[in-house]
Amino acid sequence: MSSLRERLRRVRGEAAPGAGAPTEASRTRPSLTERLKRLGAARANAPEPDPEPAPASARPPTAAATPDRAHDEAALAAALGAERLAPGVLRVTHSRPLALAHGRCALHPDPAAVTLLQPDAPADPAGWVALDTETSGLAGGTGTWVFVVGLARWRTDRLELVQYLLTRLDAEADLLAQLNTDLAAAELLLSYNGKTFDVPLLAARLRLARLADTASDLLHLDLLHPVRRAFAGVWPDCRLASVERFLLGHERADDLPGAEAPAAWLDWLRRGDGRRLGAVLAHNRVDLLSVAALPARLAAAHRTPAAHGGDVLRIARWWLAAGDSAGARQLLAAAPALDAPARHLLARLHLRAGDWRAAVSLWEPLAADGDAGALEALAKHYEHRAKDPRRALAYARALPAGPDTEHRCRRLMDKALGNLGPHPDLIE
Amino acid sequence: MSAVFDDSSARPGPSGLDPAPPAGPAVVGEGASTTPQEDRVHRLLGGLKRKYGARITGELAMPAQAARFAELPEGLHPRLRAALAARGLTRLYAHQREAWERVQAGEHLVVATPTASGKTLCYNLPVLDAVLSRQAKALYLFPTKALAQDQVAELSELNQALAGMERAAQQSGGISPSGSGSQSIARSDARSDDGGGQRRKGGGGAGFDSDTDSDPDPDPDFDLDSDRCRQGDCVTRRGSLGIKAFTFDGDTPGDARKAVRTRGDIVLSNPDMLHQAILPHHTKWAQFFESLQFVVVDELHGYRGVFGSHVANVFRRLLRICRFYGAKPVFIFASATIANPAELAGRLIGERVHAVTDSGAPRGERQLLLWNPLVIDPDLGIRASARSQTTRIARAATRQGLKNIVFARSRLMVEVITKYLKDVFDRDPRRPPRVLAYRGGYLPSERRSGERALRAGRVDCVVSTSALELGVDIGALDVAVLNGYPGTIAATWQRLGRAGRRNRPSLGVLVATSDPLDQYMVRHPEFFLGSSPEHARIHPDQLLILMDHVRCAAFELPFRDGEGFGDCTEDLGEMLGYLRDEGLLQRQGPQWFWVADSYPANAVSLRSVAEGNFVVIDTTDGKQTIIAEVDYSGAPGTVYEGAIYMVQSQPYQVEKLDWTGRKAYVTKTRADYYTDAIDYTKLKILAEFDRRGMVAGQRGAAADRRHFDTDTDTDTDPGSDSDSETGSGAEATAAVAHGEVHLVRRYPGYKKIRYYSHDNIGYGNIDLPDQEMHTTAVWWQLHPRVLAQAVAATFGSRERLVEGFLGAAYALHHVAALRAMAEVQDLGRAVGDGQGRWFATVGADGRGQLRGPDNQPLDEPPAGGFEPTLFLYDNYPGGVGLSAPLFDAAAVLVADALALVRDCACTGGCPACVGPILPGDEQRVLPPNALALSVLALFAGGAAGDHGDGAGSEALVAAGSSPQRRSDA
Repeated sequence: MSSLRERLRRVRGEAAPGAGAPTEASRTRPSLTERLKRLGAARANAPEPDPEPAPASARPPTAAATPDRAHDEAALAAALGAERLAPGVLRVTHSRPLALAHGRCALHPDPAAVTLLQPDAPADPAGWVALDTETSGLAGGTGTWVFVVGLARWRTDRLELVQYLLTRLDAEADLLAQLNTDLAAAELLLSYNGKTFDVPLLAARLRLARLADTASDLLHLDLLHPVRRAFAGVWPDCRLASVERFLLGHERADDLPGAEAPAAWLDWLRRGDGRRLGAVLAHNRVDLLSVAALPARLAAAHRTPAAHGGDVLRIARWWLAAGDSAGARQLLAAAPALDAPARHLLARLHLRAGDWRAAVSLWEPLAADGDAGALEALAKHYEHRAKDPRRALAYARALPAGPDTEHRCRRLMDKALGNLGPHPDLIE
Repeated sequence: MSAVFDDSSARPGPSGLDPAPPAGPAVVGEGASTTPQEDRVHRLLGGLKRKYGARITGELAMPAQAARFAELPEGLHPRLRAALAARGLTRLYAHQREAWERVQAGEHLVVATPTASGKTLCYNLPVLDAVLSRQAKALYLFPTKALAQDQVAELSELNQALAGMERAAQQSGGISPSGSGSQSIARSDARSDDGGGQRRKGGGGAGFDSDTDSDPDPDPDFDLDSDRCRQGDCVTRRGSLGIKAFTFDGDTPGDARKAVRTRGDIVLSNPDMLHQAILPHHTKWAQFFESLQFVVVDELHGYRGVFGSHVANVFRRLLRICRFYGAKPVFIFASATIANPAELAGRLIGERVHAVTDSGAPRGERQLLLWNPLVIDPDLGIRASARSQTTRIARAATRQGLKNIVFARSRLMVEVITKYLKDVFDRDPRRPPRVLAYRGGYLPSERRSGERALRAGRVDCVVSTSALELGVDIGALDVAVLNGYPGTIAATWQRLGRAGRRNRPSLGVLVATSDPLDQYMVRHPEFFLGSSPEHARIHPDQLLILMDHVRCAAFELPFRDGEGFGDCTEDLGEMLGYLRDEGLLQRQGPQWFWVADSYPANAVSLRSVAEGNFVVIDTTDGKQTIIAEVDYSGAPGTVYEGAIYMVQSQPYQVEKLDWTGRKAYVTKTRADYYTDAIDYTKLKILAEFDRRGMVAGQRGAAADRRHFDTDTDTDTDPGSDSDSETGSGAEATAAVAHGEVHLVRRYPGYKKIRYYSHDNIGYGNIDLPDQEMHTTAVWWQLHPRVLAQAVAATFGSRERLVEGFLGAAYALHHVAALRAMAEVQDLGRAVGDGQGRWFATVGADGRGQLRGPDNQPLDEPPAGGFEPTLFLYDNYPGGVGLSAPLFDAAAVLVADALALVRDCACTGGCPACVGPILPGDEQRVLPPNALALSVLALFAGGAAGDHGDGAGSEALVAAGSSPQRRSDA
C-alpha cells in the first residue's frame, strides 16, 4: 500500500513523461496508479471523475477518503428524528391528518378513483401502499442503490409516512428485509413511474441480497400512465413537479432537486456529512404525498377531462377501450370544443348508438372544411342509409381524386341516373 | 441446412446423409463418379502447372479423406434422436461423438476441426439433449450478430424438424406448445438486419449437406411478443422439439427482451451484449443464470489480441456471476485450426479445456500451389506484382466455370482487384454482376445481399478481406486465391478452407507479394507446409483492459477481501483501492461496494480502444447517402480529404472530412488513380522496464569482440541464460531494452497512384490531428563509443548509419512478427532518438533523413547527443504483451534478421529484406543491405558471422508509407 502511494507521489512529482534521457528513465516497473495514469491519458474512456474529486495526494490514504470507519449514525438519527432499526438502517415516521391539504387536495383515500384507474384494485385502502424511492443514480443495473424507501399508508384519520434510510452499505439486507415485512400485507402499490423505475430497482436489490421479491408481483397502479394519457399532449412534460403544479396546486418550496440526492448520500458515505439527508427525506415525503393525493384528481380528470384541462380524445378512447362506449360518448359530447379526430370519434360513437342524425351534424361542418373522412362518411351515409345518391355524389365529388373516388362517383352517377340494377360493388 | 434431405439423397455418390450408414468407416468420395467440377479443377491445375511451372515453388496435394462415423449416443434424448432422424441424421462423425463423451464427463471442451466438419453439432447435440432432458439453459456467443442469427435459424429448423413428421403421423398431444416465441424473435431480428433472408452456416453435422441452400421457410405471421402469441400459432407449432432459442442483441426489441430472459432455453448473443447488457443487469437474468449449464463460444480463433483479452475478462465476470447464482457451466468452444486451441480457451476462462482436433468429417481432394511472381529486375529484386498474378488465376478459374474467392490483405487491394476483374467480366451493366467485393466497411445490408448472392451461386468470383474468414455461409467454392500471405499460417488455412467442401476437389493458390514474409514463405515451402498454425495469444492482464473489467465487475457484484478475479495476477486489492480513490467504490467491512452514478460497461468497448466509427456519406446528386463505415483507427489513412475511397470498385473522392463529427463526405469520381497515405511515427520513451547489453561471443563463432564500457551491465539479469547478453563485467556494444513509450502518428500527405501502371503521379497534403498512443516497445541502441566509432570507420556519415537503422528495422520488424507469432500489423517500427526530438524516415530520394518533431528535415540531430534508437512497438494502446517476449528473444531476432538480409538473393537490398531501394543504390559502395547488416552485426554484439536459422518477414512498409495493410474486416 505504501509503495503505491510512494509511486503515486513520484509520478506526480515528475515532469512531462519522457523528458529525461532513456537511461535516466525509471528502471523499475512503475506503480499501478502511475501506469494507469499514463495509459489513461490516451484513452477515451477514462474513468468518470468523482463529482467532488478528493485529490489523493492531498490527503492521507486512511483519512476521509477511506470511509471504513463508522460515521456517527446516532447523531444523524437524532438530527433526522429517526430511530435506528439496525446498524445502518434508520426509520423516520411521520403522520399526517387526512384533511390537511397537499396543494389544493386532501389526502382522503378514494376507492372509487383507485378502482376507476385500476379496476382490479382492492377497494379497501388498508391494503394500499404508496411507494417512492431515492437512488444513488439513474444509470440502472446492479450498481445502482436504493438508499431511501418511502412508504405511505392510510390509517383511519391520517396518512402514515414511513421512510427507511440506508446509512451503511452492508446493512442493505436488513433494510430490504424490513421492507418485505412492511409489504407483506400490501395488496396494491401506488407510485409515480414505479413500474419501470423503483420496483425493478428494488427487485434487483432484493435479488442481490438473496431475499424474496415482494414488490414485483404486487398489483401496481403506476400513476404516470394515466397522467400521460390525460396530459401528455397538454403539459410541457409529465414530471411529478408538473403534476403538482397543474393538477394538485402544490408548489415545492426549498425542495432539494432529486438529482442532488445521490450526492447528498455520497457525502454521508464518504465523509460522514449527513446535512443534506434531511432534505432528501423531505423531498421523498412530498413525492409520497403527491402520489397519495393524485388518484382522486386523476379520476376526476378521467371523468370530466375538459374541466381539468385533460386530453378529451385520449381519455375517451381509454373509456372506449375499457368497454364503456356510452361513457366515452357522454364525455365527448360534454366537452365544449372538440378537434377533428375527436369529432370523428364522437360521430362514430353516435352512429354505433344509432343516432345518425347526431353523427351527420358532426360531419357536416367537417365536410364543409374539406375533411376527407367526413366527406366519405357522408357519401356513404347518403348512399346507403338515406338512399340519396345525388347528395352522396355531391360529397363524393369533393373527395380527393383517385381510383376509389372515381369508382365511387361512377357508381353514384349510375344510381342517380336510375340505373339501379344490382351493382357488384354494393354486394361487398 | 434446411429441407436438404431430399435434395442430397438424390445426389450421386455416398454422403453422410445416407439414411442407412454402412457398417464401419466408410470411404466417402472415392466411389463418386467424376463430376464436371472435378474435371475443371484438374484442368485448371494442369493448365497452371503447364504454363507457369517456373512460378510454382511449392505444391501440396491432399487426398480426399474418408469419413469416420460413430453411432449416435445411447443416452440421447429420444425426441432429439427423432428430430435428427427427421433431417436424415442417423449417425455422427467420430469427433462429434468424442465431443459428446467429453461434455457428458463435465469437461470444458474446444472443438478445433476444419471448416465444414460439423463443429456446430458438437455443441448443439449435448446442449439440446440437456435442454430436453433436464431443462438446462445455454448461452451461445458468436463474435458477430449476423453469425448468431444464422445459428438461431439453424436451431429453429432443427427444432421444427420433428413437427412435420409428427403432424403427418397424426400425433398431436403431449408436447408443450412453444417455439413460436423464439421463432418470432429470431425472425424479427433477421428482418431488421437483412430484410428477412436467413443465412445458414454450413457443416452442421454428418448428415447435413451444407452445399445445398434452400429458400427460407415461409413464416407464419408471428406476433412479436411471445406472451401475446395467438393460440393458432401455438397449435401449429405443436410437435416441435419445444426448445426456445432466442437471439439477444442490439436489435432485440425492448418488449421481447423479457421473454428472452425468462423463457429462453438457448440465448444466442455476442460478447459485447454479455458485457454491456446482460452482466450489468444480471439480476434480471437470475432465472437464466440459475439454470445455466453451457456456455458455447464459436469462432474461438477470433478471440485474440485486444478482443480476446477483453473477452477473457468478460468471462471472469461471467463466472463470478455464475458463482453467485450457484451455476457452474461447461464451456464448449469451437475454433478454426490454430496451434493452441486448448491453451487459448483455457486462458479465456482460466480453467483447463480439452481439445478435440481429430476430425471425422470427409474432405474432398485438395491441391495447394505456392506461387512466386517472376523476377523482373534482379538487381532491385523486383518481381511482377502479386496482384497481376492473382487476377490472372482468378480470371482463368472464372472462365473455366469454377466459383472462386480472392483474398486480399487490405480493403484497398480488394477494391483494386475487384475493379480489374469487373473490367473483364462485368462490362455489360445490364447483366447481373459476376464479380463481387466483400469487406468490412460495407453496410450490413449490402454484405447480407452479397452473402445471399454467393449462396445462390449468382456470383462467380468474390474478392474479400479477412471478413470472409469467419463462418459466414457463402456456399461452396472451388478455388481460393490468396493475394499475399495473410500473415499467419492459421489465417492462411482458414482462407484456403473457403474452397472445397465435402466431396469436391478444390484448389488453393498462395500468391506471394514482394514482402519479406511472403518471399520467405514461398522460398521455403517446407516452412509453411510443415509448420503448425500459430498460437493465438491474449493478454487478459493488460492493465487498461483489466481495470476496465474490474470496474465493471465491481458494479455487478461487490468484491470481498480475499476474492480473486479469475486468474488475474495483478493485486486486486490495489486495483480496488485505486477505484475507491476515484470515487467509484466504497469499502465497508470486508466488502467493496460500487457507489458511483454511472454504468461502467458503457464506457468499455471490447473491440477497439478508440471509439467512434466514421461514416462515409455520398453527396453525389445533392443527396446524402451513407455508403460505408470506417473504423476510427483506419480513418486517418483512408478518408482524408482528397482520398479516393472505393466501394465495390466505384471510386469516390473525399471532399470533406468532419473529424469531430466522424463523417467523410464523398462524391463519385472518374479518377484514373487511387491514393495511398503516407504516415510517420515518432516515439518517446516513458519508462524502461528492463535492459540488457549485447555482447558477442556466446553464440557466434566469428565474434568480432569489441570491448566498451557499459553502464548497462548492472541491469542484466545474472540468472538469465539468454544467448548473448553481458555476463557481469563483460562489455556491450549495444543494448536492448523494453518499456513504455508514447507514440505519435502523423499523416502528412498521400500519393496518387495510377491504375495499371502504378506510377506515382502526384502528392497531396493531409491535415489531420496526430494520433497518439501509449504502448510498450522493445528497442535497440548502440553504445555511444561504438556509435561514434562506427560512424567514423564503417558508415562514413550519420545519414548512412540512419539508413542502416532503417533497413535493420525493416528486417527486424518482419522476423519479429514471425517469432512473436503475431501479424505484422500488430507491431510497428520506428527509428528515432527515443525522446521525440528527431526521427528517421526514407526520403523521396531513397536516402535516410532526419526529421524534427514537426516533420521538418534536419541537417543535424539536435544538440544533446545523437542516440539513434530502433523501436519495435506493440501496435495497440497499452500494448497487448507483444514486446516483453521480443525483449526476451532479442538475440534470436537479431540473428534471424541478419540471416534474412544476408541470405537474400538481391544485390543491394530489396523489399524482401531491407525494404525497397532506388535504382542505382545497389552500386553504392555500401548498398542498403550492407548498411543494415552492419547495424545488425553491432546489435548482435559486434558479431557479424551469426547465421540464424531463417527469419521470414513481411512488409508493412518503410517508415514512410503505409498501404493500408490492416485487413480490417
